[in-house]
Amino acid sequence: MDLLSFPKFSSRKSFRVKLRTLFIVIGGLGAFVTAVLLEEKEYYWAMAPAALVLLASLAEFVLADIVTDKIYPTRTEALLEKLETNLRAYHDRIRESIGRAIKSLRACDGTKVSGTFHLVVELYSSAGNESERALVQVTDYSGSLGGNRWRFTSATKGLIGRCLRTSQPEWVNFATDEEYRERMVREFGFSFDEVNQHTQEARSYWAQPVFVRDRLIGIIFLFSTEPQIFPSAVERTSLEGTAREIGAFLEGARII
Amino acid sequence: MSDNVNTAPYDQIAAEYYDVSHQTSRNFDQTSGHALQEIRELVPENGLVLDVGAGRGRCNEFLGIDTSRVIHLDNSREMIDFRPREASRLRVLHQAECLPFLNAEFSCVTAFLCDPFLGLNFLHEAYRVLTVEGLFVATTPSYEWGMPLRAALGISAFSTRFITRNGKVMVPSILIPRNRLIDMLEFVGFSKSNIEVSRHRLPEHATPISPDIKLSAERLGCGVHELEILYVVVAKK
Repeated sequence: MDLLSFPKFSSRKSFRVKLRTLFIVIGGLGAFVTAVLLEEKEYYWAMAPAALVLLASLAEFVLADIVTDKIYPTRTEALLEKLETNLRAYHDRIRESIGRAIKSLRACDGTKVSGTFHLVVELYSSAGNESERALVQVTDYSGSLGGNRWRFTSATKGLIGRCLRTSQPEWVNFATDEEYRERMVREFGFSFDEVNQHTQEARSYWAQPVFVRDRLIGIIFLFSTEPQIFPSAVERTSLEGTAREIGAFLEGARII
Repeated sequence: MSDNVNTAPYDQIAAEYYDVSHQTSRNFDQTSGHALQEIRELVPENGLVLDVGAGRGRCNEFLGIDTSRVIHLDNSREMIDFRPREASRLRVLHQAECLPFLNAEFSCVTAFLCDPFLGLNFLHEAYRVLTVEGLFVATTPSYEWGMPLRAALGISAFSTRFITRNGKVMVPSILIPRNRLIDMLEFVGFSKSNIEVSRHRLPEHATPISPDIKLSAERLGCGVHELEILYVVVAKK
């Protein structure tokens, strides 16, 4: 079961709207053609577009909700809605914390470092009876690189997945983008298709666990386009301080 | 954390890396040989020597070190197996950024043309495995030479290309400005007063001169023997 096919957060609503629009257009066209054919007294031929109107109505009022719930399980959807609402006041503060963590890195060019925060979540199936631990990126990146937030990563994938499993800081370096692609597949659990969607310019990565009351609740993820920044450039007490700060923000946001 | 030694970029070029046809590399050899003459007397007379990124081994060639003291380390199986090679006490197939040795094992660490693995992690490791008063000697292409060339060729700041018999091969190559390199050496533990990063030009007698050196010199508006193409790093723990 692949719960991680859950697309971007805001797409549930847009998906449903698009589906509705499609069925309305099909139904509308069908109705128009039916009306024209009836006008022309082509009663036999009018049955086809009339059937299309019927099917479009059936799809909109019955099938669309089933399909939407299957693709966007409501329990996970509710979690993400809560996250976005509660994080609204703290998003920029978390980003600024990560920005300060980047500035605390030593003997490197901080302008080449980007960072974000991933929250530990449970993803549920549409039936609600199965779940798996995963990480969701809840902040935009501090820095010039990185993808959009609300992306999910399984606990079995990536450096952040490894950090989630070990509860320890983890780091990795790559000498070339070819090495990056090979190791992301062989060692870090991604498929080649998934890797091709990654930012591949970075060469050095760090994942810092964030604990609240001894529970691992998230991961600070940093990467640099300069090679060999991690672990040497890290001032660990400074990064642990950032982790505690972010943990406090999340408690304030009543997310954990 | 793990580091992969199964496939190394230099495996693709090892067979011909030392050929005279690779003029840029040969020009760097000529410059290194000339520049390192003055360093020979600084090398500790006793203790083990670690040659990182050793390839066929050049500690005796460049610094006159007795090969029975030298351990060769390289992450490329093809390079560390290359024949003919300098003798050594031991050969180790491993990454430079995470050396498989205990602290303070070597009285000298060398790294000739270390741009494929130059960075904070490697420098930190080089410092760690040196004994007190141990010497770190490295050479690397200069930032002043390399960046105009890479800009002209449209390649990344962290890689370079070799034109081999089989076509173009990209390999990692990290160019760092001199002042930043000194800061990094100081950061990993070397005292600033014990760090020297000198700049060196192609010797007058060097021939033939690589098109890559001519191109950089042309872009900078200087002669090929005026351009400083090589840094020599000497740092004492």
